[in-house]
Amino acid sequence: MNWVGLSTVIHREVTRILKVANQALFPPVISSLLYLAIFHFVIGKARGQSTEYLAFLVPGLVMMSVVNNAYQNSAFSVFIAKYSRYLEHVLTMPLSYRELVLGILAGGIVRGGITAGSILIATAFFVTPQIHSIGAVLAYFLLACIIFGSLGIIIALWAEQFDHLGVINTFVLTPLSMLGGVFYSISVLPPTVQFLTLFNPVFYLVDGFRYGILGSNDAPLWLGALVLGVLAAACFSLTVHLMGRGWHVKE
Amino acid sequence: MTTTPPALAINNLRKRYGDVEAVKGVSFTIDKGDFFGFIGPNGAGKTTTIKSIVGLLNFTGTIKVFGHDVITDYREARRRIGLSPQEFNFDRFLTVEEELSYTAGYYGIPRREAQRRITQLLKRFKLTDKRTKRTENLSGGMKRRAIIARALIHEPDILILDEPTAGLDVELRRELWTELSRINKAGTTIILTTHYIEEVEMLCNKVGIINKGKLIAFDEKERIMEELGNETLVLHTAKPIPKRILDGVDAYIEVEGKRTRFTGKGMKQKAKALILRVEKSTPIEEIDMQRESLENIFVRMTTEGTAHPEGKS
Ligand SMILES: Nc1ncnc2c1ncn2[C@@H]1O[C@H](COP(=O)(O)OP(=O)(O)OP(=O)(O)O)[C@@H](O)[C@H]1O
Ligand SMILES: [Mg+2]
Repeated sequence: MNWVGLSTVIHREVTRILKVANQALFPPVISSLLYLAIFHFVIGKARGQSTEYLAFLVPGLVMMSVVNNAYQNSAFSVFIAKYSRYLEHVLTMPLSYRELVLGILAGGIVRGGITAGSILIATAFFVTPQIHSIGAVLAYFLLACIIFGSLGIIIALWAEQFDHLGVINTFVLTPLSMLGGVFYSISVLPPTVQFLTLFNPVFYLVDGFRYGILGSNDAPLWLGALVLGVLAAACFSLTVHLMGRGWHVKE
Repeated sequence: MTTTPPALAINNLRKRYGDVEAVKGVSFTIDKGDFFGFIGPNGAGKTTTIKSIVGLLNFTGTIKVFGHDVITDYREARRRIGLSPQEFNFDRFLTVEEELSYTAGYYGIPRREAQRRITQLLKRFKLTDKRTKRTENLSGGMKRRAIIARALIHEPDILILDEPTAGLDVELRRELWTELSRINKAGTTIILTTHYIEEVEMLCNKVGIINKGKLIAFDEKERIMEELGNETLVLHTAKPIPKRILDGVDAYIEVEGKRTRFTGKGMKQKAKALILRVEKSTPIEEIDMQRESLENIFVRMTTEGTAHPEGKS
């Protein structure tokens, strides 16, 4: 293991993020607070069950932002490096492809941490803060960062233009998040839709993270852990493999 | 006794881009300490060969750097290589110092040692006052020096320079020559591509000429110049040499009044007999022997339709 090399990749990623820290901080916090406000005033008040629903909403909002940030961070980092040819420089360094991918993912973890932390702090003014299991919170947070950070790297390697990065955001991440049980418990869904939701990884992330915060969950925890564990391992290995092959980078 | 592996061993390298075969089965070996001039016209396949060595292309054939296969043992191979690529590949958001220090980090050099080397390299390459400037805002010549400095940060065993002198002014070019000679004398193997053939004639001990993806010459520079180069015997005579004397001389002959040039392979050996023959009819005032420049040999070998003598008239 080239420890100095790995820590250098992480250092570069983290420095890059801190330069644009406000991007990781403000947009997710503002959008999360807006969601809380809307649901509080429009739905919550009408049903007179605002507090309970808002508490239910917070972990979902956090996870949605973490997924988004993990993807955005590695997608942009790798795409910019590819575009400026810096990635070619890095690919001639004596770093293993695993170290390289780990380093980039670490950046997403730091950025996701800033995002998650700031949403939790900001929403604590409106919803009583709680953490049921810190272990589960961390585990699902890391799984989200690995899965969607890897996806970001893969898309950045594949993309030929900046627009391509956004396409995935619009057509994959947003629908998966919206349909992933951020805003509702899947028990309210008809059985077919409930069944389909079981194929959505974001659902397991939200469900598991909500368990970590509130102690309640929709799907069996072992199922989520299994699906996410396998998916994370597969995404990570695939990313390392594609990076090693120089997919869409090496001719 | 263990034999040390060559600094670079390329065996049957082939590379195809779509339907263009850019490199068509190139093989050669560079020994430790060599200063290798790799020359060829635009599009000959130099950069393709270099990109294959450093792992930026998929290719067929095998390449070993100090015995380490660049694919299967890529980390060991890369530790030994310092690369200054033809096209700049800086992180445009970094300063010169950051660029060098991150690169040092990738090579596993601890921070304090890296700082020491950066200070030294920036001084050597006259970039000390650009230390905190972003690479994006450097002039072309400064970028070139910065990228060479970056290639030296881990004290590589083999330094690969793809057109390092392109875009440098005369003074900087000369300074770089001095610097490269020093680095080579200190034991670093160097591979240099350039379109200034006189640089290769002056600096290198080994030369390879690539044309249309094929290695058309490869040898010690001295042997290439001796075996492929023509020699010219120049005779200044008291009066023009009569035509009957010149007829039947096995050389390419140019007559300019009292000065006659005889060009051909092995002219040095033939000179004595030729001089005796001329002297019988015409007194000789001055004798001069010229060797063909590497540039001339290069141009002759890489252009179709010989603009220059092939040894015979
Ligand atoms: N990315 C690419 N895609 C397609 N063809 C390429 C690519 N890169 C190089 N080629 C082709 O391969 C051949 C060799 O190119 P290469 O860059 O190796 O030449 P070179 O000897 O370095 O030339 P120069 O002196 O101009 O730098 C050329 O015909 C070139 O057009
Ligand atoms: Mg080139």
